Amino acid sequence: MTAVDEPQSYSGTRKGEPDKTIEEVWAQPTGLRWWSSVSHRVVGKRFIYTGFAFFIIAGFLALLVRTQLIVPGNTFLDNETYNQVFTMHGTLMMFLFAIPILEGFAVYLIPMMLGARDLIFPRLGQFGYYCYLFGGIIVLSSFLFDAAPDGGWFMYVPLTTNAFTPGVSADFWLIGITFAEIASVTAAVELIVAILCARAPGMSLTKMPIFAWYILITAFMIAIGFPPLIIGSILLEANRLLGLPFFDPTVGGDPLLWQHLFWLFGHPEVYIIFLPAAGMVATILPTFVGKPLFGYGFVVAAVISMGFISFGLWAHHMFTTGLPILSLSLFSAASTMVAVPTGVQIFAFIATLAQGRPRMTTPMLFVMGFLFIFVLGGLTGVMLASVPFNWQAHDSYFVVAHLHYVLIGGMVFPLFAAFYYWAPHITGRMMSERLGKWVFWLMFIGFNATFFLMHVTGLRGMPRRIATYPEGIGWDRLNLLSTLGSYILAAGVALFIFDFIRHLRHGERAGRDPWRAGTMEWLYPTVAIGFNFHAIPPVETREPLWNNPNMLGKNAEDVEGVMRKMHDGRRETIGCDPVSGSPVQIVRLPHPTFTPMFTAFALAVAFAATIASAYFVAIAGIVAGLLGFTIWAWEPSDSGVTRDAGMGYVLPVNMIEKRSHMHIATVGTMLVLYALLGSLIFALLYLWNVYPNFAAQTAQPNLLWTGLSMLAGLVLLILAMINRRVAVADKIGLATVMNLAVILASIACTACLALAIQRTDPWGTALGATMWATLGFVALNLFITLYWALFNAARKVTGRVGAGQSLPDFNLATYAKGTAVMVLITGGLFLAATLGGLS
Amino acid sequence: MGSTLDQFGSQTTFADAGIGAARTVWLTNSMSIISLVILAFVMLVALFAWRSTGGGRVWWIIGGGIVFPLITLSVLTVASATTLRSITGEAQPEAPVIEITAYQYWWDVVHHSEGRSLRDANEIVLPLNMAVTLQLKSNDVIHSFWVPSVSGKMDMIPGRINELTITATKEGRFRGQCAEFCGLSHPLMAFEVLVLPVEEYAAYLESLDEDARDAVTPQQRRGKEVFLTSGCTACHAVNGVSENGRLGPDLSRVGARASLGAGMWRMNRGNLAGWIADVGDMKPGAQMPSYNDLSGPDLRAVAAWLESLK
Amino acid sequence: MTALGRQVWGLTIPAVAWAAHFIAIYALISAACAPRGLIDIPLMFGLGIVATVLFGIAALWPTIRPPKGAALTGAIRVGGLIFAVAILFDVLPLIFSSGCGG
Repeated sequence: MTAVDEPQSYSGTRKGEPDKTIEEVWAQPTGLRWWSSVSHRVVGKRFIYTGFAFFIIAGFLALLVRTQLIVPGNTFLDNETYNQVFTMHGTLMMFLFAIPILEGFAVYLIPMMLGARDLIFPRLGQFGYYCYLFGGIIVLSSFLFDAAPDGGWFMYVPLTTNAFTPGVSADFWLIGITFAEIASVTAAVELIVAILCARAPGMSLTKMPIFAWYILITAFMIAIGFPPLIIGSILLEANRLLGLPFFDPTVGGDPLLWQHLFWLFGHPEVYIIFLPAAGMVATILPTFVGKPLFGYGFVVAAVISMGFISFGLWAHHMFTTGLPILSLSLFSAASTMVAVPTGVQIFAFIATLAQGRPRMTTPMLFVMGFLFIFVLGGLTGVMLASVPFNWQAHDSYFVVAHLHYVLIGGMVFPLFAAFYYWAPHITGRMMSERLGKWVFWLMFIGFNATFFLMHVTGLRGMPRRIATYPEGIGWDRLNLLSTLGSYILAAGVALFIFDFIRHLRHGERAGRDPWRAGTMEWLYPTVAIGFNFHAIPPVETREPLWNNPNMLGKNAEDVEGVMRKMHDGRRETIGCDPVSGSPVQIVRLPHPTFTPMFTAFALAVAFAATIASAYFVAIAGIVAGLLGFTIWAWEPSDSGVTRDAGMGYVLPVNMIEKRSHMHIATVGTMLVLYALLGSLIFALLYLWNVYPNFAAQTAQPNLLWTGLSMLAGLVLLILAMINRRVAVADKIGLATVMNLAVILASIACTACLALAIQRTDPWGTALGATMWATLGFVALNLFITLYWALFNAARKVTGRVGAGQSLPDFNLATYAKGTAVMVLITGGLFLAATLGGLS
Repeated sequence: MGSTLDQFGSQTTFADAGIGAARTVWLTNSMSIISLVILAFVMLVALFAWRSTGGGRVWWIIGGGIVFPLITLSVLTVASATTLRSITGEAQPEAPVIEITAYQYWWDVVHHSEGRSLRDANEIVLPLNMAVTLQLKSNDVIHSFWVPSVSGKMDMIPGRINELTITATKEGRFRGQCAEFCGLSHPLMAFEVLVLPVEEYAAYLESLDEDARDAVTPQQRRGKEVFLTSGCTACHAVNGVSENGRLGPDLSRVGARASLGAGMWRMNRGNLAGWIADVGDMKPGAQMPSYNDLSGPDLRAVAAWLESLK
Repeated sequence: MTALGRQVWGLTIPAVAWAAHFIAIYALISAACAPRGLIDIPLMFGLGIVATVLFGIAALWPTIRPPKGAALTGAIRVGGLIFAVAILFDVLPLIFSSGCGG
């Protein structure tokens, strides 16, 4: 391979459009094709706007709740409506507002901050957005069918099982939310890869803007934290549709299993929401102080430790469920520990303040509001970690107060700071500073009036989630004041919306870098080109706009950097080494397409049809979705050429090695899959441990077939390794044969595992049902391996693969190896059950 | 909706009517004060930092972010563990056992005393200054037992028996409520705790062992007849009258309870009649059908008879 | 591996050590306190101490001897310290309890 100036064209390579200018290549589609946009700016804004719409809807529901509680014995809403309203308020806020809008900001900002022309997987971004949108619409549409979920956002079993929630309201929740979660998880994998693999030349991990660290850790947390809930939701839906008894105590299931899975997700979720918002604070604060963030290294350490430690506290939501005191003490101690990294971040922010003379702008006001509210929320959180106090405060309005202090203080206030801060970047105009201060004070006063009093209401004994309360036992006036406070808070949000609409036309035009920020998203004038950088400038410091006089000293498009002279007529950006940030490859990016939208729509049809019990339609949707993925991936390979990116960098296009963005994405996906498998194994061990007598009733796996399944897993592992080697060595014919071998091994693995537990009745005991669920999950991965191998073989047979284009086989090998290890783990568990006995 | 206990503070945790509540309340108070002090301190430091231009110091982060939290948390952990032990250490093997089973949306109460199982419902009578072991169970979904003025809460989970030892230290009536969301009428699932001196508690237990009061007036006799012939006995038991119904609350001394509908309405003839005729409206989702086809006199008769069961 | 790469490992190892330790303690308590009672209390205590010593050293190691390279040394030290303290706190319940009942 040699560097060439003109794109080499050979069989299969998509022809570029070298006669087009870079602006034309990156032009946004117009008209109806606007929906096909894959640009991170467009997708990010869609996430933000849609998320805000859900915020308004959920906020309106909150006002209904407060209005109902304004006086004792109110009849404004009946019990049923109230239960639907508070369930949907929590659900929309947590799943359809908080996570997506923060991911939207990350999708929008990360490429610009890090020096990439687009997010690394633009189509995946579009797919994720449509999954989120359709999932959200499914959940919301339940109101139209008068079947809004009413089991609480936590969906505790057995209240949400068929026996106590007949009809489809719980199915709307389980299916719609799981669908939207897929969007969150895909966005997480995409953000991990975008941060690790597409940074400006020289931007090592230590030179990344702090926001990227926050998003990186958050994305890892989503990848590991969402799977327990996805598994829990699938088990509960399987319980509702098929009657599998995972949670039924009469056959060895346990309602607490749901709570463990839910809070294994639910507690990290709080930090998943907090961390990106804290990242916004850590970005906004230095701008207005005019000095870099103090203690960058401390904050990085704090974010990493928070990311880990927050997974060890889930059971403090379960202090009143009768766990052994010893367990309570463990989770109590672990819970208090999260205060340490929080304290480090707070004091790093305060130390940053001391560096210069801060400017009191609206974003800064919201940052200071965050500090006040979040610190108090954190302190009440520490209080709740105390077991005896928790026994009183749990499920009372004290917890309502605490969680809103943490979430509104820790997320909504930073988010509004971010709205004011980045609005000029998105719209090109400044929002009003005068109105902004009004918005802040209305929200700040309204918030504290609403929620500070709730601490007292809760300690006076008012439980959560009650539609009415009796007069005269000490809650009347507190509730009245809380409700009035909520109206003030709502007025602040309404004023913000007014100001936002007003500023679109009448706002002062924002110049280049209006806040005098130091991070690279402000390099170009606001409302700039859609591809971020004509040339990607090398980066030596964390605040390039402050430290490199060339950056703002000349026109943005004249700033020197790599890729300026490349005219391949393709969308492309620079790929880097994950640690050092030195350029290692050219990443070719896709052009606008409807395929991801179609795929997401097909899956939406499948999910919606499942709710409607139209199973043939559901199967058709899944097949169409699979077809969509196939078309999506069936594109010509770009690897196999080398290009001169300027500044002395001669780089391969879509290189074939472990640091390839595609390979890191495969590894990231494996992380999610292993978190899913881990959740199932947790369920297996948990049920086995808690109900020995029912475990004894479960039929043991067959020894012969278990042994054979492990053997087949080993064969699959070895075949996958060989497949990679022959593919990388460009032996295309042999690689095709190896693909077929992988297919056969996958089938053998599935068959042996199924035969191993053929005598286990999934309806007989909960443990048996979970064994089959684990088998189902591993079989699904084996099917994906099979389909992928088939796909790769088909491409080779049809001559779509040339020399040096073995990246798909390279990634398949990693996936197949991961799946083979899953087979070995599952086989090992079955083997232990056979040899050790289940009793 | 007037609760039977519409008196201020009947459900507050700031109370000392039981060992659990009393030993937690100082923890609540001291932690609240310390939290507010820390908040004020952090905001003062932030204000100082805002005005200063001298630059941050590493020891702020080490001191404020690591050392100070560790000291505070260690103190908190010790205080909290000590309190926890002092509350749970009350458990005694010979303590009287009360078995409480939650249903959507009421409470079945069985006092285990001297080998007898004495059933009551929706009102929990406790002996003064005596540790009692509650065995908490659920018949359907997850509920949670909470009498804030006496003790912290404990969930009632299908398939499990959670034990909670409580010691009431003040005579009187205290309101309790289901604290885990349990469905449509979750807000209407309360109960009352009546704390009696030990002798009166013993007398109460004896009263549970006796047959229900006989019907005296013609109206009461008519009411009893309606009760026996309208299907009520399929779910409700009345000692000495019909003892097989187990699906609904035991009514042997329903008239003696201060409240109707699981701690929600005052016990009187009018409310009883309204309840029987229109349960679905008073407590949506309750299992009991509304007996709106009873004639006016029959309805009044049943209500009169039930009210007389004391 | 580059110096920065080694430093990234220095950041990661204490985190993984904390996670492994937490899982170990949780598993030990679950094994000892569930109806099954797989292990008895002294064994749980002993294994918990062993896990704490092992993973505690692993967590503190990068703090004591940070990999060369200046860029992340501060972060490594603080991170290692936070995780080591968290490991210590997680084992306290075992040390101060006489059994599953506290």
